[in-house]
Amino acid sequence: MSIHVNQLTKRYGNFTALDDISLSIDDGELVALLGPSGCGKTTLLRSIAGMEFADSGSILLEGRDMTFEPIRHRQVGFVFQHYALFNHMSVFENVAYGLRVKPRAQRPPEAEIRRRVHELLDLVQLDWLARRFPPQLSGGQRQRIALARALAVEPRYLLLDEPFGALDANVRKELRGWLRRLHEELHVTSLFVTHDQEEAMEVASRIVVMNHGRIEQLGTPAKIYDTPRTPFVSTFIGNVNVFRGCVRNGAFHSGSWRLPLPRTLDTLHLAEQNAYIRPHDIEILRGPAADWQVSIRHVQPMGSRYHLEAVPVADASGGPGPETESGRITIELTRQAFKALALDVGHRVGLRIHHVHWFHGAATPQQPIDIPAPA
Amino acid sequence: MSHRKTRLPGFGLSLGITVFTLSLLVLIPLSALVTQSAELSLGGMWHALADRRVLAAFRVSFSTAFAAAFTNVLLGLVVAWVLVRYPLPFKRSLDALIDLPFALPTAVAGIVLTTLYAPNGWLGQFFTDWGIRIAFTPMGIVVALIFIGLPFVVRTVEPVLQELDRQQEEASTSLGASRWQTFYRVLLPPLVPAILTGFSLAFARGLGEYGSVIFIAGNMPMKSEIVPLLIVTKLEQYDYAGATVIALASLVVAFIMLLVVNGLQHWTRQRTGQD
Repeated sequence: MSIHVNQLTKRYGNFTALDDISLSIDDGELVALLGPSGCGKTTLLRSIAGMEFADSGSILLEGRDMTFEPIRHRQVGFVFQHYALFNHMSVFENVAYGLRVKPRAQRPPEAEIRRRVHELLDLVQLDWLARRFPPQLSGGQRQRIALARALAVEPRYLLLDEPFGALDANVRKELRGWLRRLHEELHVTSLFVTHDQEEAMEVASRIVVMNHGRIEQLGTPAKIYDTPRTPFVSTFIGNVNVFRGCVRNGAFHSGSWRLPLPRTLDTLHLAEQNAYIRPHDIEILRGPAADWQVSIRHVQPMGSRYHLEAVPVADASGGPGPETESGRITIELTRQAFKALALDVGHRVGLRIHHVHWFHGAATPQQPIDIPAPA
Repeated sequence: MSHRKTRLPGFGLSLGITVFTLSLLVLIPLSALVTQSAELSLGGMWHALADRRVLAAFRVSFSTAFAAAFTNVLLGLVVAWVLVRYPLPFKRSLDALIDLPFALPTAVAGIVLTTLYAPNGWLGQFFTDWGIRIAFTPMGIVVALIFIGLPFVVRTVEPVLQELDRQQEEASTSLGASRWQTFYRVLLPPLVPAILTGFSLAFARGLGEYGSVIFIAGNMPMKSEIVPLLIVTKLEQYDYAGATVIALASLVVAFIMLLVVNGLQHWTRQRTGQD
């Protein structure tokens, strides 16, 4: 059951929530709408559901124009961030609701309703809670019931608005994996909104990155992480160090720092070119063979990985170091690498850059020039 | 008796104050009522109550209070809904207006309503064209009681309505429910306890209301005479025992009715898991 969104635009007064959004989702996909709060992701989801109506553009479900159809004709299952369960009904009645409100002619007999509800409660592994009321359940249980309720009417599309946003970290992690497995089992075309990039990467088969009402990039999690199309995507998905500078005479210059580029790019001259370098694309070397020299200021063990914060050390010429956003450089090492180097706060070490994304300026999205640095 | 310490301080003091004021203001006056009426024998009581005029007054009082409270539930629900859900100009002033019947001297309300709804009054004349008389009939009593009782329903339903999760309604429509189904299956059930509270408050107030009713009722014995007026009449005739017996009887009946409403409320709460 495919979803096509064509040039959707929606304004609230002066604020543009959706700016000319076009998007196609194939049958059976599990897609994440990812972006910071206020980027329009929830508005887009609610427009697809039929809870909000855009100013212009169209929405096609399975090729049929549904732009102005109300929600009850769209056959979507919607899951809310704060569950929106009916607190005065038992868990069983919550799940049965969609079946009970069907027109008499389509309403299944009572025995069939019972069978369906218990089947769904089994699916979300909460059949034992059938007679409880929502306020007596934990957040994770409530969200699973909300999902069972949405699935009861056999929707063609499942839309989830920050489904795990109100849950604590452990439950969130557990439910992510569970949602992915559920999707593998049911294959309902699903679209979920999140501001958590880790959640999007872990659950979705494709990610739509949004910012300021526009789509910044659309692709598989790996593609978006490895080849971000805009500076925003690069900084929003994972951590990144940004060095402001320019390319001249076959090297990248940032402040007094210089990073030689491969020979093939010798002739390149680019003003206002910024280098986006992931913390794990930086290698720490002991010895003079490094590109840059830094001093370690802070060590943060994160379980299997170590995060280091370093500040540039003035080079021989006494220059001010590179132009970075925070004045600090973040480096990520595996536990093994960290132990092997026997690093500690105050050590002076060299950095070797392995991979760089380049963006022209910071404001406007541009095609990056992806240059693997010399290894 | 165990002497377990509670974690809340001041239990003894606050209970003392509660019992003291409750006794002074409620329990002692009510028991005085009982002892006063004990002057009459049971037969005498029965005789005082079984009087046709007394029974008619009870019928008028209870039926008009019930009709007004019921109308107020419907009306109050709509008013509360409008106040909570729609952006209105002068909403705050409108909201303050709701409480006015509380503040207005009831006699003023009675006189104004009588003037308006009298057969040749501003509003009454249109009803006269249709052959309907409002002032000086039980209908007039109902009108006055609606005016007096409306704030009770609005003020009890409003906060609950405000607390309702709008997304529950969206969830309901996304599951295919019509507007009507969403209203009576999702919106109404959480409101029922508040509606019952508003109903019982408006009803109780309606039973006791005197000031506004005596102006508009016409006070014709057997037709539009209410119980409180009958009590006053008996007092004016120095029939103290008769007056207290009627007062006691109306107290007992009102108490039973409120008990029933409370029971109903408890039952709905339990049935919907709110307890």
